[in-house]
Amino acid sequence: MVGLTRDREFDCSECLQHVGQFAEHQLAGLPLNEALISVGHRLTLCPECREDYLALKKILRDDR
Amino acid sequence: MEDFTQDALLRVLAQLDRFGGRSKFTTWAHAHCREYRLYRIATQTLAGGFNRRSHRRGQKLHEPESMPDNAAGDDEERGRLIAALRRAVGELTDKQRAVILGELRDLPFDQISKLLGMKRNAPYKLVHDARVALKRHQAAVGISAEDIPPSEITHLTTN
Repeated sequence: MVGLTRDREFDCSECLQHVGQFAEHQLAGLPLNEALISVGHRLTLCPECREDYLALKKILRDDR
Repeated sequence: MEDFTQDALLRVLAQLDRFGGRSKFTTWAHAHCREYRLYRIATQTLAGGFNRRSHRRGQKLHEPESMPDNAAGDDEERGRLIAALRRAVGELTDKQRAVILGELRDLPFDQISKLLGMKRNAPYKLVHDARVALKRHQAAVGISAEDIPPSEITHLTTN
């Protein structure tokens, strides 16, 4: 975890602002911009964000 | 379940001004409201893999599209529209809000009526009354449906 940490990272709140777009892009196979890359980084570091993301992704996938 | 549904809707509405249009409205609602997400999971479980497309009754509900980058437009104008929308929704009855949430969730009316313990046709009347109330409120404050970005309001104003 220490090795993955960056000087500037999204916190949980910032991650939440973008995680919906991140999930949609991931499911659609779209490229990620800088903000969305930061979301992905956050998800590797934060179990709570990751748990929420996985639940969101499941719902979106089930809706497809 | 009815209380749970209403709690979820109220939580979404309470955060409505944070919706920036970066994703679909429903995606945003799922991401920002744990209660709503849990509600979705619960209803999916209850439905047992229900396929809403093959069982849909009544008119087609529109999935709000992602807002184009420039659709957020003037923040002040957007804030005014959201405030008006929130006031309008706030004037709905609890049951009307619950039914609107079901519609937002794209649930068929049969399932909405079961979840809310209503007779089969009750949601039709409720959602119609809710739409009429929303439309009248919009007209009263000088807003037409065309003024509001579809991603913000389509789920509430489907004709």
